[in-house]
Amino acid sequence: MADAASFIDHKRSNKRASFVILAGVFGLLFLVANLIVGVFGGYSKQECGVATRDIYGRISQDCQSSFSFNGVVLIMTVLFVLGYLLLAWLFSASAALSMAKARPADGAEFSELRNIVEQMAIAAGIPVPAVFVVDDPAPNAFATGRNPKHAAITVTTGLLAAMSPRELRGVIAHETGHIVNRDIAVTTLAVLAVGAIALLAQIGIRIGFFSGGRRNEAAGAMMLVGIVLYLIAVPAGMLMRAALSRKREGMADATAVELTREPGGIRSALEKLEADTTVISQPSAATAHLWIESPLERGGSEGIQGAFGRLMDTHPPLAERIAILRAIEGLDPEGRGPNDSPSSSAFS
Amino acid sequence: MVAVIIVVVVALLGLLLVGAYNGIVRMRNQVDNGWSQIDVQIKRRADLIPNLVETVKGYAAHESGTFEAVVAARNATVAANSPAQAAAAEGPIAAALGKIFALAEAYPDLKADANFRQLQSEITATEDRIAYARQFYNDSVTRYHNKIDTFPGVVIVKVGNFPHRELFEADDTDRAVPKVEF
Repeated sequence: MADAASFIDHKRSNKRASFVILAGVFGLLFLVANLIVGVFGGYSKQECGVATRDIYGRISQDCQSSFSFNGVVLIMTVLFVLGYLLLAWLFSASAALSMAKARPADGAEFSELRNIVEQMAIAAGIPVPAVFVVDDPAPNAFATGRNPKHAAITVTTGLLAAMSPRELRGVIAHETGHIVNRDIAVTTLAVLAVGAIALLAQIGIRIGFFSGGRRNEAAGAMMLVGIVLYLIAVPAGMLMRAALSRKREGMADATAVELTREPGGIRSALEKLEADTTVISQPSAATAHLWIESPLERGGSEGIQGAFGRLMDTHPPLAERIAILRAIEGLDPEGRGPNDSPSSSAFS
Repeated sequence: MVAVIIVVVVALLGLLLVGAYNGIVRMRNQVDNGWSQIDVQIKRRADLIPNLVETVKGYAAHESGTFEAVVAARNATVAANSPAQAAAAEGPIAAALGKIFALAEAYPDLKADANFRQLQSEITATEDRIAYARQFYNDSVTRYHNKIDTFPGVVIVKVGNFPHRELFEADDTDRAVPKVEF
């Protein structure tokens, strides 16, 4: 699973996925923008006959409104959509960081963390990513950015408190894996796609709601479009994100082993995450797939809900990932331990 | 019709070759970049060592043999200008630094010195970075060699300058845990 060819394939499929998501979002935004323009008359043309006066002196004119394609309006919607995508692409990483309430890891107490991030960046041959921390007792971490040159690694203070330097190195190597495998670009685009779809669906529903009486048919159509978007596109986006996410986590674990040259660090770290029951205090579905461990609480695992829940889960079960790493180490896949003692915490 | 097919096939083959050639160039650049990363860290360590020696001298002036050994080993790392020479210089510097850090056990005042502790942690961190930079360099060289030794790379490299590169191989003294004796 972790041979060079599968990594190259993974990078390629990430690039393909990025392109497909981007093209899909562009197409969708373009379609909806045109629909909105259409509803408000941007594409209609009125042709009126000669005005006549009837016997009571009233003016009457025969007017027919017809559909006409307007080049200027079309180009404007394209520019608008491209502009939105560019801005979202440039600012989505900082948006994710501020959503998670991350702050730069500047202080002397984080020198060990910065050191490990630098070591792993050197081992991966990428520029050193920016380092952020989130004040949260739940141990977790994520990587964001649009490419290795603009990347950031974020960890919670809970992670620093729970992990030994060796385990922290494993986690940072896993996050560095997301950067070198180009996962972060797909991640960023997925946040953007789901965000855009949700926004459009809301616009559609609102337009339908507020312009109720006047342009009955058009408004009804908008509302329908909005509802359909909500019903299909949002869950579809979540499924897509989850599918992307599940494969990625295993690949990033493999990169972590490659960078640290030992499976023990990441394995022991994942076991600690598995045993940990603290849930991150501000979970958000939009950023769930960013974290090393899913920050959302899982429901029951039985029945339809359980099966659907597994399908929508952004992360493969930790037990599966741990079993693979234990097999590399020659340990019993079902067993647990040995783990580093928390007293050797990397957070001093 | 046949002519069109021939032109299309030749054009496609040409595109494939250009792509493969660029891929090999990228790998060669990555090897060079990997080597300069090692170089940066070795120089950084070399810059820290004189400060370390000065600090330790203040507490253990008569350990001149240890100082001379570490300075000689440091100069050898800076003088090295090929991966093989640099790798050969790593063993002695690791042993010499091990000895100088071990002096802290014999001189409690030295061990308590904030400057000494700062230098020790910086040098240790730099040694870790050298180890990871070396790992990246060796991985890059191996990937590059695999590319230029197999088809079609082995044919493509005939039209450019794509020499094999030396691996940065640790010798035995480097790999073993340094033993410190008095």
